Amino acid sequence: MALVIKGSSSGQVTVDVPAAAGTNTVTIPAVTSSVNVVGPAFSAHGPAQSIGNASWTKLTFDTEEFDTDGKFASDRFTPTVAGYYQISGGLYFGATSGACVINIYKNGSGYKRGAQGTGVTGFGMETGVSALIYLDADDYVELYVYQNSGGSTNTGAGGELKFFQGTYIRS
Amino acid sequence: MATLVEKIKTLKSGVTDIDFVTNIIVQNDGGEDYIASWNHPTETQPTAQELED
Repeated sequence: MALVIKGSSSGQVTVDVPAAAGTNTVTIPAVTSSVNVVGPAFSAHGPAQSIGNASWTKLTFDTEEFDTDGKFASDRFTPTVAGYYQISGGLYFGATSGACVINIYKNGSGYKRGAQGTGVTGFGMETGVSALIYLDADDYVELYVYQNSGGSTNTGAGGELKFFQGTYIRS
Repeated sequence: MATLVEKIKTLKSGVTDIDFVTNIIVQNDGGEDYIASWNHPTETQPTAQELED
């Protein structure tokens, strides 16, 4: 059973616990509005996509694993709720030469780059990013990637090889 | 057909591969490549006419 106590913005909330020897008082410390505040979260993945050599290219995502508030659409997360968000993504290429790096774009411009991946024979190359980003009510984020294998190359596909995620952390 | 990056490298001999990770952003939002930003320390941005020739 859940017990919800709603108090004023300041002051003290107490819970009186009956006991054989008398009355015990449990004091709940003050909390900030960042605790237990629910905000948008999403996880999406995408299809294989051809990425040109040395061009920062927007990644596409056609499948939502979850999108709690319907804030992910057209490869873009626009939470509409101001706050701090943890944004992350990962991408695989089959290319065995060159390098790649993924970039979180905020409002159409590069904002937080991830770790560079280098092409290796027998493996390919991978890059990932995770960053804490403040977004106001109309900010949005997208993922772009750069690769310089020497020509166009395809990304991986699906939830393991090409993903984009984000969640509200606090106001 | 040459890509935009290849055209830039042909027109601007001072531009190297690493510039496209730092000083020059060639971007693709789902259509054609375009120059999103140009901050090369010595080379000027090529004109649209130069890129079409």
